[in-house]
Amino acid sequence: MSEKIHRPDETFYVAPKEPPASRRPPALTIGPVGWLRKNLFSGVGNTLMTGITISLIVAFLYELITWSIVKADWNVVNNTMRLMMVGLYPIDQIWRIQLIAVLLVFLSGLGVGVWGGNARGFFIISLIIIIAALIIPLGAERIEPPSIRFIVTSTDPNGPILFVGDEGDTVGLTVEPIDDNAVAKQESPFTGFIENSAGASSSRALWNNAKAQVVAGKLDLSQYNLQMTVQLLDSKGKVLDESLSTPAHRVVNFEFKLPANGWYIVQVLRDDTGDAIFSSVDGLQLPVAAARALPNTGFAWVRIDGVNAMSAQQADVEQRTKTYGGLPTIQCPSTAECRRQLLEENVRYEGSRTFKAFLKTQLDPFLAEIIQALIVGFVVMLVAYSLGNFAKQSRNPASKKLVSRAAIIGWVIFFPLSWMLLSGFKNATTLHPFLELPQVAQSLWGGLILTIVLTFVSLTFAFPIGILLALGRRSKLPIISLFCVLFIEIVRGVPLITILFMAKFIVPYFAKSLSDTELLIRLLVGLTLFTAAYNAEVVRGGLQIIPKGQIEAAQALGLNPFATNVFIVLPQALRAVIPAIMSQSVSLFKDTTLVSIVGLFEFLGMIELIVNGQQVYRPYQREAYLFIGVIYFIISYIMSSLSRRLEESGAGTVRKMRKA
Amino acid sequence: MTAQSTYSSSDDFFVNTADLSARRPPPRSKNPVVLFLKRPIVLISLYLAYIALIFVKWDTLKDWLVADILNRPASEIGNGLEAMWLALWVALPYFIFSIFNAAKIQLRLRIPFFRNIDFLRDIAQVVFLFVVVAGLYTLALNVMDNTQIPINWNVVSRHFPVEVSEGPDFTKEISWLKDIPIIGNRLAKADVLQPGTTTRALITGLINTLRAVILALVFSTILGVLIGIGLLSNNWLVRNVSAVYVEIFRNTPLLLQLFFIYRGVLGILPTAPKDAYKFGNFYLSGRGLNFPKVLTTDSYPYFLMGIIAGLIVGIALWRWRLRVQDETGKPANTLIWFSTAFFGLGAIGLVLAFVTGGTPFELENPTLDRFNFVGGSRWSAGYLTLVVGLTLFTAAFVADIVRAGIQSVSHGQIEAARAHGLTSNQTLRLVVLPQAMRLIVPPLTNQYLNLSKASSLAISIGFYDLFNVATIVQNQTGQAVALFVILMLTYLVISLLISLLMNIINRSLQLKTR
Repeated sequence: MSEKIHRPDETFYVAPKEPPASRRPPALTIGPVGWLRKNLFSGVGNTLMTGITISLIVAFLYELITWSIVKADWNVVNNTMRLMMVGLYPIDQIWRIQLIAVLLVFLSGLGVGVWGGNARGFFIISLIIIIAALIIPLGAERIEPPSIRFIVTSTDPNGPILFVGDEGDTVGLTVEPIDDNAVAKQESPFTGFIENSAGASSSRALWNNAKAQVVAGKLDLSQYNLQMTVQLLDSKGKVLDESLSTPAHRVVNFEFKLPANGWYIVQVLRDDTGDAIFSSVDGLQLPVAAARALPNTGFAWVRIDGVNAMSAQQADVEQRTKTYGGLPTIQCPSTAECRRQLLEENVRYEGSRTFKAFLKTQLDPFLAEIIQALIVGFVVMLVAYSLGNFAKQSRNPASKKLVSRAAIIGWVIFFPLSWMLLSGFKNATTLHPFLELPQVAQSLWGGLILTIVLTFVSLTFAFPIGILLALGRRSKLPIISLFCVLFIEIVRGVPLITILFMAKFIVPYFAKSLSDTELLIRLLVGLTLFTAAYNAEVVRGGLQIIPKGQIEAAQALGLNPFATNVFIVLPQALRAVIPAIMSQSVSLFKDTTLVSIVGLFEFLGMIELIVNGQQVYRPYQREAYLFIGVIYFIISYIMSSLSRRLEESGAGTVRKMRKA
Repeated sequence: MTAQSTYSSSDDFFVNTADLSARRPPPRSKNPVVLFLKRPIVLISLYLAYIALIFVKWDTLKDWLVADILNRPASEIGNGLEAMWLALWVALPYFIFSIFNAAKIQLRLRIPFFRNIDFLRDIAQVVFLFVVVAGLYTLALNVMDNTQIPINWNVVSRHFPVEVSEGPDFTKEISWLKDIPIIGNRLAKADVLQPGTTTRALITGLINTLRAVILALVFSTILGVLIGIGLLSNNWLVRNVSAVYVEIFRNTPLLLQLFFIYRGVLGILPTAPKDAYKFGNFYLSGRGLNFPKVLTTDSYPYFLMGIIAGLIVGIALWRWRLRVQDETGKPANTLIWFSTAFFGLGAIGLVLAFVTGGTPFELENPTLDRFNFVGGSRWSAGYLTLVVGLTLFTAAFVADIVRAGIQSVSHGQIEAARAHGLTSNQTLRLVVLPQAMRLIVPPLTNQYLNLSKASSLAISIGFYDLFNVATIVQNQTGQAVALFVILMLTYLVISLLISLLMNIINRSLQLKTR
């Protein structure tokens, strides 16, 4: 018998260090780690995609946030808030708009209170408050609103040269006629040109034109005989110093010590007529073009030494000085770079701002603008909500009925009341002289309030017209149906802008009285008809899903066609299409921007007027666009989430009926 | 109009049912003349003769058919108004006939007319038509009276005073116009097609519009499909980023997006060509994008012939393989067969081209001259903005449509496909996409129509599209009516063309029922 050899591995089970794959516990699928694994890192491709997306998001958000805190200048928003929101509506009448906004918040709060509301309802309510707070800038009189002169684009290309100087600076001014053809033939004798706010590159165009002629040998600059007076003015237009060119000393050259911080004007006048002969504001060196077919004419270039910054508008310089205390210096290595800087950095704040400075110079003015309105809106909403909720929970059903009826009546009279408040009315009876509001011309309406007016008015009128068109299209009467089909298809086939242009240019021909109608009314008619055609198609979709049995049942009960439509078909069809109508309203709300092309200054048009018409704000277009983009987004989002909510809740009884 | 002598059952409840004699057909007339006149062929011939008379003798008839009634000389009556009156006179017998018929039935029925639905309907239509015609007529008269500048359709042959910096040069003669057979010479001599006329400028504008629309259509579809797939991704992050994209671009106005791109993005780039951002031979500056132009050389036809032959042979092979699959059940592998033929023949064409005369394509790179780029192609800032803006905006809508379409395919379909042993790729290609496409195409058509109409916003960014050119003419001449008619018709035609194309695609995708 062989001795049993003791082999430990056979006798004892030694657990392997790693369990076999089949015995490993499954991957965690719950908790944050499980969630991450399932949703972000479920495979190689998924992980890769997550990585790429995260890096893109981080890069984008980092750029956006650092830019908006460190570099962006939101004062374009803060300073022009009133213009953006209510346009040129007279300041002393703004209380009417404030009243409308308060009413809006009150009715929203009451509605949510009575008819119930969940978290999303409150979310929407708070967004409404924010919008209302933006519309009612209670601190409006605190901020100096830009004057009318500012928003009307200057059509005068002979704007003077402006520059900023500090007290004690010595400014050297040189204005020299160009009479050497060789100089003109050089590739780039001058450092740069800059368009002024009129957008006319007139000096450059004139100079390029002249230069081409010199190169072609058609023009001899030495024949020109430009005599001029160069004046240095302070910001109030007082002449501080002036110098004349003579045939012997054709170069005007003088130095001047500035008496105070501020901005100064250089004006070059033709000696014989006293006309300003500048064509354009420019940088450090530029030709002064006066290519008029007169004996005393020609080109000159001007140089200003010892100056920090040059700009076209006083307010910008003042604003910048107030905000930052200092001014950046221009240093341009090349012509193009200089030109770009003059366009951009010269006026733009380009530095790094701390977060504290951001809060102080950017956010603080904005909050100061809306904080009062925000508080008022919040309080009003709270009161209205409590009132509604109190009535809802009270034991007496009559009180709930009363409040909900009041809310409905409130909403019904809200829109006509708002219109009356906005436009004002004359006392009709003379019995109540206090019942009189000064009328505000519709051309003064503008900004966000005009956008809202356009949207709601055209929606209100388009809805019934759309229903009629839809019924007409489905009608058995061939002429009516043909008319409706033609109308709907033609309107849907052409761009909205065509219809608006027609409303502006052709509608006045339709009747003598129409040519005196305000543009707003005409455009409203255009928008309404446009929306009605689209609504008609939506309503037609709703009509199509009504089972034929419904109509037959109505007929069996002896209802006439009118009653069948009004009491049986339409209620069901309209409930079914409410979500679609809402999303139609969102696109209408966005489409109202097109009226800015035909000359009404609604929200986007106002911004256009501010940032594009004005040299001061031109460099801040991105800030302005981003701001109004956010506002547009918020309002559209409220509307589309309402529509989605209605859709989810199954607004249509038809759907419920079908499911049953 | 339903002027029939019998009643459909749905109208019965309006008729006094007690009077059953109402349902009896009227006694037929024995008079041979009446019988002859009542024959449809005779009635139609009489009517056609009347129309022929009106049309042929219109020049003399209009004096007392229109001018006398309007009480103004015929020369003062515009074309539109005249056409309306012509239509009215052409339709008149029809109205008389139907009213006469309704009255006849009414008389025979002996029920109150306000309960006779046919009668009420006819009257309602006539009243409606009268209101519409009277309204349009008043408006047309007013337009005639109120326009300071009379409507003049010759505005299209006027000289167009503004330089259009985009698209084909409208101040040059069209060289190929004469080569068109039969009508070529006439076209070349036509007033409106002479260089520099408004018509030519409008055509240039139309071409610009189409350039932008077609490019934006293609790009927005590609981007939209990608984002739509992103919306359905398993990856939470990708899904939500796509959703944020869709929400942002759907909930802000297109005009604002265009302005932002034009002024906020392109506007802050350096404008001087030498400072332009350079990506290879692509130069991006505030003035636009300059990029290499593809030129064809003499050997290009060989390559083209190779490609075309490849396409034809490839499609033939594709069909053949499908037939083989139907008959034998063997896998078709259509794509492999097609691509082999296509790329093979294409390569042969390329080799032929190289052998005969060098490369079929040449790139002309943009080079920096003194102040501007020379050579190459250029997309102006306006064009770039329009294409990018329309693409980004429409892509958001397309993405949502694609998502909804794919989601609507029921999960049972996918499970069934898996149960049949299809791979996930095959499931997508053969089961999900064909069904999703049916739901995607109709709303997609709508988006394409919206895009083509939204291209008219080019006016706000100074791109010379059709609408912008027309507006310039309108400002110069004051001919609002004429130009808006032209504009509306053109946009309607564009819309109809897109609808037609998409309907063809839609029909090919629909379920074929036998």
